Amino acid sequence: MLQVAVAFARHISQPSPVGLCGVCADFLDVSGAGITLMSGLNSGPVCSSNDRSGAIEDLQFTLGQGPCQDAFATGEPVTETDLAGNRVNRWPQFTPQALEIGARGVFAYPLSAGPARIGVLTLYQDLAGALTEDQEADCRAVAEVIAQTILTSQAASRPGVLADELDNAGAHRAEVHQASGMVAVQLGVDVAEGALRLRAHSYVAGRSIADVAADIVARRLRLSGDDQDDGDGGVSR
Amino acid sequence: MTEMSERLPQMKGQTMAREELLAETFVQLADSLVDEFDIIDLLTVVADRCVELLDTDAAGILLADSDGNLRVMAASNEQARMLELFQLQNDEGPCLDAYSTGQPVVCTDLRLFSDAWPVFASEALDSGFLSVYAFPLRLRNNTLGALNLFRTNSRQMPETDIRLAQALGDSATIAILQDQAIRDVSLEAGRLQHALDSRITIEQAKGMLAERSNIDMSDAFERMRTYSRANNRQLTAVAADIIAGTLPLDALIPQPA
Repeated sequence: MLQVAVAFARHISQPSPVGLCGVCADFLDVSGAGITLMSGLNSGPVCSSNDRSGAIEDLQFTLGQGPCQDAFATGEPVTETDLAGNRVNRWPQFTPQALEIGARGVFAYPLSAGPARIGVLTLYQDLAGALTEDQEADCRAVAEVIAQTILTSQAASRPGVLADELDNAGAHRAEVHQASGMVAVQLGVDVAEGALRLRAHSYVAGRSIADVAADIVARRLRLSGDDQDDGDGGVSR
Repeated sequence: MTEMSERLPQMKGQTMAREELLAETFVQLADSLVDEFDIIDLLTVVADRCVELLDTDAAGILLADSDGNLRVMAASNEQARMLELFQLQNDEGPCLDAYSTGQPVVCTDLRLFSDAWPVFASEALDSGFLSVYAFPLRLRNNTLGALNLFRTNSRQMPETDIRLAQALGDSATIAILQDQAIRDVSLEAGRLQHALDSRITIEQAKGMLAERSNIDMSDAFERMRTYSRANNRQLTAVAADIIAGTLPLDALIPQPA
């Protein structure tokens, strides 16, 4: 465990969480890796090693469903060695879309800080199959190092202010939350409801929440009152 | 920690050999550190085991808080707790000396210590105690507190008991340090989440303002910042009020001069 941590630490040139995903994917020998910061229902990307892992992170955020959410909720690693396998599907919305993106295996490791959890490391494989025992042990070790790296970055920041590197990485998903506020005013509801409407619209429209939010913020899209579950029906452009 | 007490069969005066009980105690202490544990429960177990394993009638544990003030964390019985509190209130006694010097304090006959601790010595004697052994809870130069043994006899404590008391104290020290490390990292995690939540709150409020006044996000942010400064309030607090609906959006529209 210590050896892994040291090897990993040497592997990264800078102690910044943002550069970690590519290193993770290489080091753990998987198709892709994404690191997500989480707080309650909110989550945001710290980094992803490639477009596919970025898309998988976005998909889980849009749906509020997937291995990342489960790992965060339980504090235990969540493993699915073959999303296309013929078994009870724990993520009915996530699975088909994840397969479409090109993921067959997904592996999520919670980023823990003592009893608290701050995020999740999500790995995907483009082929079905379990990780080796060594890989699994390495994943746990790497998750510990990532958690520590994130906390270290934040520790240098003023209280209440998100560390620059996390902020710049978009961990706060600025546009999504701006759009939630806009939708709330458009529909005359509170922000929590605005966020739900935004999410529902994205799901029904089959788009990522980030894309829909960008359209709303750019005022290319407004959600109207009857836009609850009928997709584009209530959209005016 | 109830688990720990349940696992341990009734021991004092029973068949279980002292060595076995000893070994079991240390294994249990080590085990409990692996999982989540309650530091007060664990220290109470240490105090109880001292009474069961050593030539002592009562035991108490004092621990310094983050400001360096000592507090009673655990005691084998109410008498020990009262004696610990008594020392803290009167700012004198063997336990305080062990903490402040970082060295063990041995007092085999309290009747001879009325000069050193006039108030404590007389109170302890009145409670029926004749001798006190106090051991610092210490890692290198860092003293965290003290483990104190109160005895109704004035015999010298056997050398093996003294070494054992120190070993139990060391176990307690490790537990205390681990507990503090966990607290520290939990605090950091809480700060990180607070920072993330603040940032999100500000973005949501920006969105509401931008939509209401048909302005862009940077103008919305500027408006919030101007309001915060003018009213001497934190940006996050203003954003939170906007979201809660307690601060009307129109209140942030700049007034013409």
